[in-house]
Amino acid sequence: MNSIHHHLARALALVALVAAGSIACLGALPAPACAMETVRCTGRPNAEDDKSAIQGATESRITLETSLDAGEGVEQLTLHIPEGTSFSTDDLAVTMLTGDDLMTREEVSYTETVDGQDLVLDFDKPLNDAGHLSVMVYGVYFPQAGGDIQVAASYVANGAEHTLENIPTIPVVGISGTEALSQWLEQQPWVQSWNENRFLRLFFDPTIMVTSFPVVLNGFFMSIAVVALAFPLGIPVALLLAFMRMSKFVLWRGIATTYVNIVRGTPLFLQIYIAFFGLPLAGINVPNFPLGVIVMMLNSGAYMCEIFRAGILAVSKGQTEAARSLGMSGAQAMFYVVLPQMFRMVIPNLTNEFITLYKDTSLLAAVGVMELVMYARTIVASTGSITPYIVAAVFYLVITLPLSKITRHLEERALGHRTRRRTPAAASAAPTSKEA
Amino acid sequence: MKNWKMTKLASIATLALAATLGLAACGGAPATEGSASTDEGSGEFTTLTEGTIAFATSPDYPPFENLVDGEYVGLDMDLGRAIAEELGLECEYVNIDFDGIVPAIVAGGQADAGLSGISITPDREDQVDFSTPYYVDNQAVAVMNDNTAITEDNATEALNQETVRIAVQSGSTGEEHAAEYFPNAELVSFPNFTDCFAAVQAGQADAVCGNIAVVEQMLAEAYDNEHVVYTSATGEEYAIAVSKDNPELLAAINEAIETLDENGTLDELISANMG
Amino acid sequence: MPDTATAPATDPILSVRDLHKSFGSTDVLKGISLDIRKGEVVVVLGPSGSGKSTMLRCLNRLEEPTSGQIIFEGEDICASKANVNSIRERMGMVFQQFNLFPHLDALHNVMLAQEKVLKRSKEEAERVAREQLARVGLADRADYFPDELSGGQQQRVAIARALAMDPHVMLFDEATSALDPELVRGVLDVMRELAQGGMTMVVVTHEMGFARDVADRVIFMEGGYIVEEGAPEQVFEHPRSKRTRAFIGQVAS
Repeated sequence: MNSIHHHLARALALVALVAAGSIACLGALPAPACAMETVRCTGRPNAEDDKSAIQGATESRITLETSLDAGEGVEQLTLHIPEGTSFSTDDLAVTMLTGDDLMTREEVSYTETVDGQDLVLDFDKPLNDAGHLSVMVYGVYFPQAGGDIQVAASYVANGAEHTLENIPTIPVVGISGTEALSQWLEQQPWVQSWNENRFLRLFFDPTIMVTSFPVVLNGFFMSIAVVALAFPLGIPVALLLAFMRMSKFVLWRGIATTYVNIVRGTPLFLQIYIAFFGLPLAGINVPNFPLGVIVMMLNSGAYMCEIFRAGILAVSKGQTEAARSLGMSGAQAMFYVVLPQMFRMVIPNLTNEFITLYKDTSLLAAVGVMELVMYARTIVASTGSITPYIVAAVFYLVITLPLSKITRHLEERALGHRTRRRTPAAASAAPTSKEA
Repeated sequence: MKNWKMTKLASIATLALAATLGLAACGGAPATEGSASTDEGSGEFTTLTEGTIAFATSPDYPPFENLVDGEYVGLDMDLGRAIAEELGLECEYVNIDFDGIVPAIVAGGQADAGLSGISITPDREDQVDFSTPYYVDNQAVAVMNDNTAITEDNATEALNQETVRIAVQSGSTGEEHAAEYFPNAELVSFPNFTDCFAAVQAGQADAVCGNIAVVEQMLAEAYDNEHVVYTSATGEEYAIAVSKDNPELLAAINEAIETLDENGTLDELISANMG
Repeated sequence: MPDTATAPATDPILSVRDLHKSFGSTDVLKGISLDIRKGEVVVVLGPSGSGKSTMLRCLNRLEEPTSGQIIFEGEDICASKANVNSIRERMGMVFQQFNLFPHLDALHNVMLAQEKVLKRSKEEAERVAREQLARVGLADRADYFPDELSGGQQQRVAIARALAMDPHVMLFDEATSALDPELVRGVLDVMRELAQGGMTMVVVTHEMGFARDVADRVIFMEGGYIVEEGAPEQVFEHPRSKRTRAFIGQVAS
């Protein structure tokens, strides 16, 4: 209403005061006078999908830190927070950081007044120490659409008003769709009564479900990416190991057997730790993601080796003999006759191994790979609700349930009979392989 | 009636979850007295297991909490034992990753209170109640000694680069601090604070950000090839987290802290552990 | 049908000299010597455990002989530098258990080795495969998988698979023993036709009728030795050895 008038008046006053201040600086007070300078002005990140993003319409905090010289005598500080951004004076924290390393904190006593978008702090005693003055304003809600938020400030020192220069803008991003949906949900009566129940709120809070979904989805893609690379890459490793284990050369057998026994005999968690913290110490530096893939690949290689070995041994000896009797070399018999049958036989086991591997990607959370569990964890830590874990569980089940079903189907099929029949005649003629 | 059922259901489910996670293992006794029994006698507080107070802690944070030869040592651990003594209870520690402590207190069933160098923040205050603070700490960032790109002189700018990876403990104030003051840097989160230092050693991260007392302790004890390049007087206050459903316990803990503060025990513990 | 007595006295296509084979301390073959001429059908009889299957499997080195010599088309196949794969190419083998490749249909069972070993083109291999399947009477079963075929049909596919390699010798290892009685005839008919077409064959079997009708020569083995050898009429009608007589009497009854 009177804000335009108010602003104009303020602006004029500021111009006048800046002029006055400069004169004062040049004249009466020699050294420090107008040296209150901006150190930083930041907003507290509050987005769940990006830890350093500040988003609109979500609670945040503004921190303004300024440096003061000794004898400055700052009596009053006014923060002007732009229109569209709301704030609260609850939890307001005003602190002086002094000492050489600015590591001494002193609470500053003050009286605060809020005048529209202005927050005025009248200090009980003028600030005369050299150091940093830090003001933290809590309960800040930036505009929903985001944008660069310019906080302005002025101060009164030794009776003269000055403008605080060079305050950086706070980059605020627009609120995401899910965040908006979550905030809308929070207002719904049914959600409120749902969340009144402790169990439902802890495990199935709809507002957190909505916000954690896109975040945990990032982790889902990461987990899938890890397993989608590690699993197929593990197959040749496993085949090689299986051949080595069945080799007639003691050395190959020994190497492969030792490897398989070590990998299968130690927890994957430990292997991950050794790879992530041990290898770099040995001078081998591999970035996080490929290293995660490699560890998972080498681990599943050992398990699949045993699956393959058992599978190869389960293909009847007559198959190799038949192939060899036709003049095929050992390798040809292996690749064209034994392996195709082996793969067919071990598909259920391989599917199980895939499921295990997929679930085990969660262990990479411990070493900073941002996979499913780690994303869920970060939200659990900031909300105190278990709901993101439930969302994560759903993401696991989305993959594991259908695969388990397929495995069951394949196992049944392996036990049962081929359903494919070429002609009705054949169907009646050969109900089982024994009969004509 | 309906409400009673829901509460019952909730506590059963919570128990089931705790049991499934295998975290109820410490002490073994199940939470026989849930929120249901808090309404008897206003001054009396209840704990999960009668006669015992269970603190959730993440023992990767010397000199506040650490495991030495299987013993819980550090300022927080001594404080917990002193508080338990004041309250006439047995003291028990439940090992939970740091980012799981506040959720565990909210969910209940695993521990009575969180005692793990937990700074009071408005976000956490929304979820749990905090006791009177017993220690004030600040933030620090450490890098390898041979890191010439990030020095004490340029740390504020040098750390805020897209190419810089900062290791932080998941759910810690160090994570929040780094996110706010070095928004351009990439944060690498670890559940375990000691792993953050190992990650810097291993080159998985360029810097580690966390509470100064712990950073200094870690550098002094294990990582003398890293040094502090940045400090910030955030003045975080460490306090004990208690479930909002258990104000009686909070009051009792506050009373104990007050006593320990007045009789000088708290100062003794601090100087003994921060030496 | 060529008469054995008047068969040209060419060099033998396959010649076995003093063949020994032992598994561990068990001697299974104790000195077998045998010549097989081109176009000859030799049926090997004998009780179980007499070593006849082992002898057959030594012929293409599916079993490694302990000692002795096997000369096939002028080449010592036991020599260390012998190319065992190329030898096997020229020796077809049919097994008691068929050993069809269960992951391939009949057509591809017959095609596989042609393509991989003989390096025939896909078209050529398929043409030959269909031809051979027709020859064993299974042209209409080309796209059936082994488990969709009866035992007799499977064995005929196995024969077609071996024949597709254009072998110079066919080895039959109790080819009908695993078959239900009513299916035996079909397989024997195929074998008979093959013999009539002039294929050199070594047949280990219990089918006396087949031996009597088709064999040019019958060999009776027992205890790792060749006990009796001669034209079928002679072995069946006037066995010289008591054991042969006992065996034939047993099987006939």
